[in-house]
Amino acid sequence: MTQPSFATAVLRVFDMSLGQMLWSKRTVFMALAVGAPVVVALVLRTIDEMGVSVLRVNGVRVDGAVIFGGLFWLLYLRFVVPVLGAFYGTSLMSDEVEDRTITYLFTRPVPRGAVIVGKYLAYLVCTEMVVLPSLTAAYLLITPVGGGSIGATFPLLLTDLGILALGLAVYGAVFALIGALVPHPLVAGLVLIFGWEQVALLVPGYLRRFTIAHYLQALVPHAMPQDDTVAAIQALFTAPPSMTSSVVSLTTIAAVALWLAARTVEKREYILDQ
Amino acid sequence: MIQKSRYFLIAAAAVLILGVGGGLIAYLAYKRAASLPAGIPAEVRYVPADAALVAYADVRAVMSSELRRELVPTIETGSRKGRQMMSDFAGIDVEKQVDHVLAYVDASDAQAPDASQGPRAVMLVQGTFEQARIEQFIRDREGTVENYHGHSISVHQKGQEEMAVGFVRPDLLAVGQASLVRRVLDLSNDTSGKTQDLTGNTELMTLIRDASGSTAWAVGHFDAMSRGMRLPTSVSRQVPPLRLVSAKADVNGGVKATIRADTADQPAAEQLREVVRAFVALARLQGGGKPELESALKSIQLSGTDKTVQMTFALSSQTMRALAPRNREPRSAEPGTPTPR
Repeated sequence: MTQPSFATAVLRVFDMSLGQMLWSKRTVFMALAVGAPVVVALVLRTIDEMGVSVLRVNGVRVDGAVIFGGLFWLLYLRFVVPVLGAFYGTSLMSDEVEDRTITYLFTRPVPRGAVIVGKYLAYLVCTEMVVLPSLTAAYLLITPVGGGSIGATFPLLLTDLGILALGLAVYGAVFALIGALVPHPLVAGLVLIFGWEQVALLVPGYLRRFTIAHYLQALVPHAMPQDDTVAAIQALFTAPPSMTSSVVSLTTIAAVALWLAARTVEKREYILDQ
Repeated sequence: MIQKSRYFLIAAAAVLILGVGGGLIAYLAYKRAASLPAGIPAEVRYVPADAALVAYADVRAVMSSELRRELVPTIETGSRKGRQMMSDFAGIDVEKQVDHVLAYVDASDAQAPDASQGPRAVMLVQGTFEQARIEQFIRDREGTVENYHGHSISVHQKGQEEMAVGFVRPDLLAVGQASLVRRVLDLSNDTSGKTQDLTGNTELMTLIRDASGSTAWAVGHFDAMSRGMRLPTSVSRQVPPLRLVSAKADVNGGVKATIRADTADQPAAEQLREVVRAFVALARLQGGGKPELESALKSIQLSGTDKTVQMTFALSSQTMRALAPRNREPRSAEPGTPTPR
């Protein structure tokens, strides 16, 4: 039996893993995470259609584009993207280890590295085909609130979609590496998102350069909400990198992390608990 | 891939494509509506659709024209009045800071009972301004500076009237009655396109398109224009029923002007042509002996079709000098100054 090429092997693993991911228990969590912003948008739009002013700041009515910007920052960028990346990315290999099914994968005539790359691609399709339509639906619902214009702000939606797609790709690759390296990757992933990234962004100096959020947030076209102390401190110390350097940095992080993950899976000996 | 997964992915992709496609259509429609033909100042977006009269002047072109250079010694006193007004009110140096001006007369002014009052108008002045300096200027004259929906607006009480200077953009000022300035700022804030601006007024926009590219132009409803010109009732009674009037002028070494009137019907247009012909004939008779007016009178051309009457004429710098109000003679002597013997 001849061994298929790396690309063919990746496609086979991708095809097998996509269905598993879409209908796993995690999908319920994902549905809740991406459904919440759409529900919020729907509620705000309904209130607006009833003629009630949705949001006022210093007596001035806030339009839908501004509300959408806040929703993007608080729900999608700071919560949905990193958390989905952690939940799915860390599970790419660890699930197979915990379920003791990794043996079946490794005994197939495919390169080991193709397993994690195929699974990573399945993760990308699975999460992006849920998150991006959710963002689009929230945008269409919320932007016309308070006299906002879809036509005027549409280029921002395309930027937002690109940011989320890139964010999911980078977080997914980094967490895939963590999943391939450490025994309890989800805990490590959550510590990374809610511990390291939050602290490093607040500390003055170069530490923030070792976070994904630093580069991702620099791409966001909406103003960062200044409603809490953390955001205020972050804004005070932040010298955002340029758009080009952010995109290059994020792409590099994703590529290097995925390559390291594939290399780790190739080299590492997985010992299953008896 | 199982069928369930395939259906899910197709549904998700459909939502994404429909959403992005719908947004793209809205964006293209918005861009199409937002784009104006070349030559039309973008400030027409801040003029309400029901404006009675709209006028434009390319101040920079006028200031740098040969005609102005030639006329400065003659009409300096007169032109200084307008500049002084802007300078007194907002500390703006028209000659140095202003590129162009678009002004409109509010429609409510057309129904105003008291014609003796000045028109309710706003000037949208495009140029290079120092916001802090203008605000300080107004504060120094007991004005107040407020924030109106994200725009700085400086208000000054002038008798019964409340006058204001509002920053539409850092390079665009709205100057005039405070209520009208606030309306301009509201229009500039409206990104939904729900509020009708002048681009929605097809009649006036047709005239503006026709006049665009000229150094100065004015278009509007005849009622508003005749009020602005303060035509005597005896004269306005002689004029056949007119709906819209436009005037444009190209200024350089001289002035080439076109005046166009749209009448209510064809007989009115014919009648107007007769009236204009009679006036031109009378003028030629009267001005025949004045060589400086002769060339201008010869250049008059009357044309038009159907309900439109159009008159073009050219004024040379010599004619302009003859028509312009002359500078006052210098005072022969200040009190206490010895007079030459």
